[in-house]
Amino acid sequence: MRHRIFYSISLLAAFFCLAPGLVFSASPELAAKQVWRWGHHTSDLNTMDPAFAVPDMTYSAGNGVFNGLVRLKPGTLDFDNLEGDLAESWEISKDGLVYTFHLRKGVQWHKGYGEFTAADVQYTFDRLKNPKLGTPYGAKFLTIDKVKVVDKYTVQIILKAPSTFFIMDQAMAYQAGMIVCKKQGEEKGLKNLGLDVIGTGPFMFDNYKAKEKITFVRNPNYFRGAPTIERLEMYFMSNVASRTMAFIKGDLDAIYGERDSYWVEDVKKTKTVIVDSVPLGSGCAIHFNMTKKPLDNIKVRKALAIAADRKAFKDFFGGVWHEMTAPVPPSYYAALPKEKTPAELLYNYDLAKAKNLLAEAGYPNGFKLMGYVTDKPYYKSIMEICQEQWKPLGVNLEIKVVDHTTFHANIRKDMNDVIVYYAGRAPVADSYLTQYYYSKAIIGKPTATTNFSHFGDVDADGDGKIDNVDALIEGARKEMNREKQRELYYEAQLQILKNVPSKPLHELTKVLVRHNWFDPGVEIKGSMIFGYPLEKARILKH
Amino acid sequence: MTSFILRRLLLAIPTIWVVITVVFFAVRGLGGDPAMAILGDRATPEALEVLRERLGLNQPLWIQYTSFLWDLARGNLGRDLLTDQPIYELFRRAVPYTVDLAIWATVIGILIGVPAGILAALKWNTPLDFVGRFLGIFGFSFPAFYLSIILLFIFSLTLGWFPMIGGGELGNWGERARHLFLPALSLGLIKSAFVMRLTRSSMLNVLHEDYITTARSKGLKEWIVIYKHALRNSLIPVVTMISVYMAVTIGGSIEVEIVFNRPGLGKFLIGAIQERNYPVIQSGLVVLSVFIVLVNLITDLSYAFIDPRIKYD
Repeated sequence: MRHRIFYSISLLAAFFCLAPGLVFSASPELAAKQVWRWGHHTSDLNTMDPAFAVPDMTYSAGNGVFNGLVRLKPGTLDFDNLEGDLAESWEISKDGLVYTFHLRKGVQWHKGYGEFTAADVQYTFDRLKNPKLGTPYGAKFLTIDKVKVVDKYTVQIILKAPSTFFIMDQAMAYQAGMIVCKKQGEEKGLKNLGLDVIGTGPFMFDNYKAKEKITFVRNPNYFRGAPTIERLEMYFMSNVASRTMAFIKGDLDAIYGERDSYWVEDVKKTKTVIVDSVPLGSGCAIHFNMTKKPLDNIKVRKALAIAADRKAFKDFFGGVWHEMTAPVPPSYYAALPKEKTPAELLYNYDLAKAKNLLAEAGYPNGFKLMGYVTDKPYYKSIMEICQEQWKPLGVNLEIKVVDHTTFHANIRKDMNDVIVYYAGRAPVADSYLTQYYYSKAIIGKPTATTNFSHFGDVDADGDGKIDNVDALIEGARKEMNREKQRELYYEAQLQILKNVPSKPLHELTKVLVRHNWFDPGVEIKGSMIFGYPLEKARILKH
Repeated sequence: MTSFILRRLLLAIPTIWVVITVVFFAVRGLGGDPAMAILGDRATPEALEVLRERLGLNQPLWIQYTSFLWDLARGNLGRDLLTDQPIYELFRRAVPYTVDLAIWATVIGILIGVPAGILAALKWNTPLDFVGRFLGIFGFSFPAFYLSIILLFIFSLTLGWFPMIGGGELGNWGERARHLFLPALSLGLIKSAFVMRLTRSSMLNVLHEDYITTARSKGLKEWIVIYKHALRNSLIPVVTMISVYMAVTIGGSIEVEIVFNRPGLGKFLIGAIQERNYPVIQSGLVVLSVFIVLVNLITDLSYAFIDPRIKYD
């Protein structure tokens, strides 16, 4: 008994002695200087206006400056558990047409621009819809019929047709979905807001030095509480060698890395380095221009698809590579899972079968193809690998390397037979299918985006009928039941796979790299932006 | 002298006009679309059209050309198509970084190249000459960006002596010099190889002239023969080529500015070409043309100091 009492007292004493230590070790000491230095992979930043947030640097930096109505939980891509951002809650009418948002009260715009209200939400969406603004995102906001201010803190968005994706796409804190300040917009007029933008986010624009860096300072009035980091310095460092060296030296706390397994393994050799290779990635497919002979023949396209071995790309990209077997990248909502795809639609490598298909199509000795490609290595290498893989079929792919701007111009003039294209989009099946396989998106049309194969306007399988999945895409968009909606998207993807307008190849994840003294404050499981969530981030003593 | 300078400056105007006219039409013949560069690959043709209209890219070429010339004549360099900032303001910050780099690379090139060239010429066909020639060829064929990465690795990453990012604040001379040292050394070392080879061959020509033999036979000290008689006469082709090489240095500065993340003119130009940012390309080349004209003028004037027999009317 005496022993028990002794042990109990000893344990209690030990607990009280160690407890402060345990608490201390759970909250590491912060660095005296809370400045976060980020090395971005682009050479400059042209605007901070969310309506023109096409360059990844713009919307990535904008993530700290603006808020949307709703958002993903920081560090996740969990679309089933979105949380309110400027909206505290929201309701969707039964017919899926009316979205009512109840806004946070007392949120302040940066630099004394007043309180955020429903009028700002109305202004943001009306501005995006206005064709005179000329935003590249205009088309997707035309689905909005009207934005109604119910009262100062309640706003209703009425859609022209039901869309379950409105909340996941247009209303999300991402790219053009960020809410801008009406007062600033009216001051500047209907044009690009430029760099010195007013937001509600945790950081405020401070300074911009062209070709060098952009800086932001802490917003002491941020509605979720002032962030720990006082200042963000984002450097434009397109040269990977100097960006890497500056990071390894510790002059930068975090950088955007290279989608290259050798590079990743190399930086990991530095003990303090943590690599966050996470979705949302960029999907890559090779698109066949079905208006050009002999690519109008489905057997020819099937032969090319099964002769392009995904394993070769895996070997090339290493750890950042993820197999993409459906038209929609695997990390996107409602992407067709591999296990739900019939084996013959996976178009796995089979050279003998490819040769037979070409012979059946009347091209036993192959043919010539031509494709412009950008000088960016991750594009060019895809074309070069395809060129090698199609050689045994007698297919001679002539590659014309041009700079990135010329590449984009040429492929929109229908100059390519085959087009390699990478894209990261709002991570829902709708965005990908609408931009690549919807008939309105076919290049050459006034509403064109990136449908390079002309799928939707041609008889893809040679049965005398136009093949098209527009109705399936539109039906899925309106479907309020998630399960039914998924099935519709799966069906659309199966139809696309059957018609082979493209061969889906892979999704490359983002490569975010940091030193262990930069603590993002949340676990990084995924990221929509090229950067880290920063509102809870801190720099630890090192 | 003044009339010579004025005449040269007036003659520079048609030269610059030819340069900007060629550039104006050449960049538009490159293909690509500034509107696409701004709005990205998701932009519909309708959105692209709105932007082209706003930027004046839909106007006939001759109107764009004449309005550019008219603006230029009034000293207006135009606005950046992408950021809408005045190009003058952007260049006011960028040009000093490039001028710093060009001047100090040239100074390093001369400080290393001229003595090395003289030494190699004096020790003609000796092991020292062979080593100098080898280093000259090696340096001449070495890419500036690669040397920059090596210097960064040694002096910044390993030894930590120099900063890695940026060009330093323009108003802070100490910081500016620290940021300048490695980029200037990268370009300067490569330039020194060129200057060394040129000085050596020029000195070798002069050292075999009769007046050198005469100077020696008069009993002049060897250093007077070398520096007063041989070097001064051999410097004119060296100075000419250094000024020509100045343009090459500006070209080389593009790569170095990218590696060292210096916000100089080269970095602006390469970005502008990729984005088809026409006003920045045009204005950037105007600035470069003016710079090269001034360098040539200074070179011509320096001849009179090197060789007093040269007079300007």
